Amino acid sequence: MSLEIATAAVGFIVLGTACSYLLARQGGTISNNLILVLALFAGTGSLLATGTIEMAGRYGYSTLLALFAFTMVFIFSPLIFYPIRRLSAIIRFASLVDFLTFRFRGKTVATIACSCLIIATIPLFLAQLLALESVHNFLFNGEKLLFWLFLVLVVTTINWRSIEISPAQNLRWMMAAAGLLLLLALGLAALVSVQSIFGSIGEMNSWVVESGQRFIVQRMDSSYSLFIIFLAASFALPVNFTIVISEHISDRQAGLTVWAYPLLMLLASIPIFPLLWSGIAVQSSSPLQDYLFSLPALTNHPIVAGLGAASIILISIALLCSMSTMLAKMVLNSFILPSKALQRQPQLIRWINLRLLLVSSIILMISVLLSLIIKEHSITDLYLVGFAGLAQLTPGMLASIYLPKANRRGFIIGLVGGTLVWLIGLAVPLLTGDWQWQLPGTDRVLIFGMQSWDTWAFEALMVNIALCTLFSVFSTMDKQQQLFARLCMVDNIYIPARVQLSQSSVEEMKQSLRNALGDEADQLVGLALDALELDKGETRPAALRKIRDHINSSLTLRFGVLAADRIMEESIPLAAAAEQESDDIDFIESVLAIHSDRLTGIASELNKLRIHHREIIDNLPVGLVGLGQNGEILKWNSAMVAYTKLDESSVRGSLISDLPEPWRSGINQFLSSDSSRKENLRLELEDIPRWFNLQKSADQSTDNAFILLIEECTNSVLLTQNIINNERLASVGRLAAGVAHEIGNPLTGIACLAQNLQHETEAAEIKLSAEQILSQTDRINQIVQSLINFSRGDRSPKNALQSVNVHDAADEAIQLLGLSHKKSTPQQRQQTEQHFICTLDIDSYILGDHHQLVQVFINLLSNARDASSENSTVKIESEIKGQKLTILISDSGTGIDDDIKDRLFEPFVTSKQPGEGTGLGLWIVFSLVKNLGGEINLSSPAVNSDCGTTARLQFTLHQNK
Amino acid sequence: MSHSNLRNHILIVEDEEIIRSSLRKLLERHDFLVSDAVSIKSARELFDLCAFNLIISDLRLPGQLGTDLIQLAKPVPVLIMTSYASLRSAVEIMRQGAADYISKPFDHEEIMISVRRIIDAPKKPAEITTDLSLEGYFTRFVLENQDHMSETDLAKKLGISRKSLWQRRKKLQINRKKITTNP
Repeated sequence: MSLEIATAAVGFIVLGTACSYLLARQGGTISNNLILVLALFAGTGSLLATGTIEMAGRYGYSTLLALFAFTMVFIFSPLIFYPIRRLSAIIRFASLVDFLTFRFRGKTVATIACSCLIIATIPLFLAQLLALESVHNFLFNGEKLLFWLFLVLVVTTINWRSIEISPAQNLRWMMAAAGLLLLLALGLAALVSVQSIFGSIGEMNSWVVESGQRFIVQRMDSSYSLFIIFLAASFALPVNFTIVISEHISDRQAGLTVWAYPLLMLLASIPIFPLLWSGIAVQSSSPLQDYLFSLPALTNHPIVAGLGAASIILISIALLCSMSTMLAKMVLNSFILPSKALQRQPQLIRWINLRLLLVSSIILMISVLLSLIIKEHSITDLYLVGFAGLAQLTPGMLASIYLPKANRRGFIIGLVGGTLVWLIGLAVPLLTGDWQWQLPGTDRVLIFGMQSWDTWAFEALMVNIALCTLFSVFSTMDKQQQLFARLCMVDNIYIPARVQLSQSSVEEMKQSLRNALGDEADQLVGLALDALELDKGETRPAALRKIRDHINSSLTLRFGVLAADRIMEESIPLAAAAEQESDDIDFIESVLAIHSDRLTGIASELNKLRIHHREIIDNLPVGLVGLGQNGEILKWNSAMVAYTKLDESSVRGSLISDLPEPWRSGINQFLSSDSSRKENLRLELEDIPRWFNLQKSADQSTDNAFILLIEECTNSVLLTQNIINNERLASVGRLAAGVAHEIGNPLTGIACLAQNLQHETEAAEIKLSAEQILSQTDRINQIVQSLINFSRGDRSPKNALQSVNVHDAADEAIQLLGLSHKKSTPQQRQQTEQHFICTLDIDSYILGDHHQLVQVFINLLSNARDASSENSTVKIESEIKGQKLTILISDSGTGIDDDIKDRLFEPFVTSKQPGEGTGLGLWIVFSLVKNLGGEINLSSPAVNSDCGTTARLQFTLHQNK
Repeated sequence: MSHSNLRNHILIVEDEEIIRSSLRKLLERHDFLVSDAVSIKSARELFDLCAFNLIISDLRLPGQLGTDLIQLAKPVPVLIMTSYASLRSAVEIMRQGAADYISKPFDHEEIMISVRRIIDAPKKPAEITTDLSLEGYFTRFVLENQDHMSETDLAKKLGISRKSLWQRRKKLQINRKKITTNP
């Protein structure tokens, strides 16, 4: 019989784990969810397999109440686990101890919380060991030492594998297999027991009524204590915290637990009473806690008995393994890592894994030793004591998220006080057996131990809460504690402050992390970059802060809050004090964007308002840049994107001094200047000159931050320039016309007199003088004539700029130059045309006036020709670079004298002999080129030559032909 | 200096003393009978305008424009002098019926050519007014004069730059055939 049961048990264990392992390997949403819920369900360990039947016998229906209380934590997880989950998305908490350490700060907190949790968990370990032992006793009733050795070996091996392979998903699949087997075993065991012992459910019901069990199970005397202790313990149960918070399950999965976990509990609690009653009815000799396998064995169902045994074995071993590694991690995080120089370990991960295994094995050994000397042998009692101990951590945990006033001193004193009461009243009597103490001076007797467990459990919790409240109210918190208290509040959204880092690149961060972590640093930074989808060359402060936060969170998950804090302080410290910094607006925005569907009422209206205002700013036709005090860009609206062609996501969070040129120098000069406005800042964007008006105003809400408005005014500047140019040309024209008329008459008089003089005298000398007077008047006449030509014939309609073909204009100018010689013959003209070599691009157009451009060419070409000797050539070339057209007119003539180089474009400056040039040519060219929106400069000697002159004209190409 | 010139009586209306006397000397040297006045008003007071063979007048006179004389002295031809005339103002002057115009400062030879041409020309006032649009005038003027005038002179006569002259030729397709084919 025993052998059959044992064989069946081994078979079920193998089958169950294999199924679950395969399911886990295969993946998929449904199987993942199933495994998750079953694993959570199995987290209660042997309580459901063994303890609850005994509890049902002892406390009747109160057992169901207790189980209900145990599931409440999931039903109300939006109130309890979700806030911590939200925070844990940013700062990954590896355990409850880590969370408490984060909230209350300090190594003392970690030490005490960790110690209390371990002490409170020991009874749960003992309960698992006891369950295993009872199975062993039932089946083999033999060698105990061998059994314990075998057990320790199995657990250690499983631990080693689980630590090595996946420390994150702590044996979830094994737990799930155990949970599944347990559900099946409970159901089948109850079924076969009721079938064999009563025959049917109806007969069982009548037996219950007849035997008086009906009234026995209705006792509710311990229900309050059971309810409260089970409720409180479920918060602090390491398995619950680890799976729901540390292991990063999705929100959907967390939502699943809200109903699936209570449902499984309900299913599991249905067979409890039928099993109990079956056992009582047949007056079984085995203890109540063994009914799961002893009753089917009694009724000759070895397979079902094997299933029961298998479920108990599997669930106990799985829980031993996962809890021992969890506790080992807590010990490591709280005691060992915070003071350890991590960079000295060449193989850090391996080192940590070995320590984990060592600590978990030590915990296991201690438990085994304790189980050997323990007096108490009821699994239920062990669970009750363990839960009462775990409950001590719950006040601190709830205070963390709901009571901002709770502080470190209150937490520590409350926890220590409660745990002490628990130790004296419940834990120590487990080892020593119950004892009594008569209060001196009275006749009242205090009973320590399980006899009055409900009193002690309740007292311990009350002492804890009272001390915590008292000391929190009457002691003060420092700034740091207040900050973290605020962070942990249930309605708080974690917003990292926009602080400056001392590092300015990813590489620098990596370097300084290497000092604290050794080679691990590279991997850590690499992971952070991958997760955030950032580039190695990232220098934006906002992105660097995100990387820092990510590194911080993964460090926290791996090494605990204390070690992570220390490493971050050492390697990537924040440059400025946190309280002076403003919140990271960018981050708030992204958080609001993610959570906008969760906002209700006023908050949702406010969010609408926020979106509305945001859109207004984004769609402003004026560029808007929001700057933080360190010059970080917080806002970059769509107009700025249009101006700069820089994507918002790439700019936001970077420093204003990291902008590409020409924006950087333009904006920075303006920011460092005192004036709050700069008009017509000229920037060359993609070789096209554009003009911007800049305006800045100090942001009233935060000091030193700027709001920068940038408005393009290229069109108006161009228009103004055009008007000014035209106005100038027109006024020159008016002046010239006035001068012409005023000069005209006296000049005519002089010319007439001189001509008459030639007829009135015979003296050759006077005739010569008259001749000279005439030629002088001719010079004046030429000047006035060119002034008038310039002002009159070439005045273009102001706004009718056309596309002008540069090549045609040059060609026309060359032809005109051929005509302009007084005695022009075809040969001469032929010569003239050969004189110029024009290689201008045929298809180049600029925006302007054709006549003006021709005039420019005429003046420049005639200058070039006049400066050159008879048979030299004048080259007209062009080069196109982007939107820029550069025209080079080079001659190999006499060049320009140094003494007039600086004044070339002033009127009446000429290098020609008096009488040959008016000195107005280049001045006119300069005016016209400006009017055409171009640039001109002359260089002498010519480009690539040692003589002559090159005139370099620059225009912006016009695409529309 | 043909004898017949003695019969030709020319009136000069010009407010500038120097120009007036110089012109007078010039014309008298070419055997014209010359009278002068400083303004239209005094000219009308002193002389019967219709008795002259030709009136040479400045465009800008005190109080009145020289072109007013064209109507006042009809059918006597009027030669208008302007300072730095533009093509537009030249056309305006011709449209109003002036026999010719000349821009200041003028060459003595130039003005004498013009004076002789007017005085020797048979009178056909109707033809003058046939086509007085800008292009029409330009075309006619260039075609009539390009054989005996250089490009520079043509331009000067039209009161435009050589460049403008060239452009207009191109635009109106008036080629300078004679010179290109027969230098």
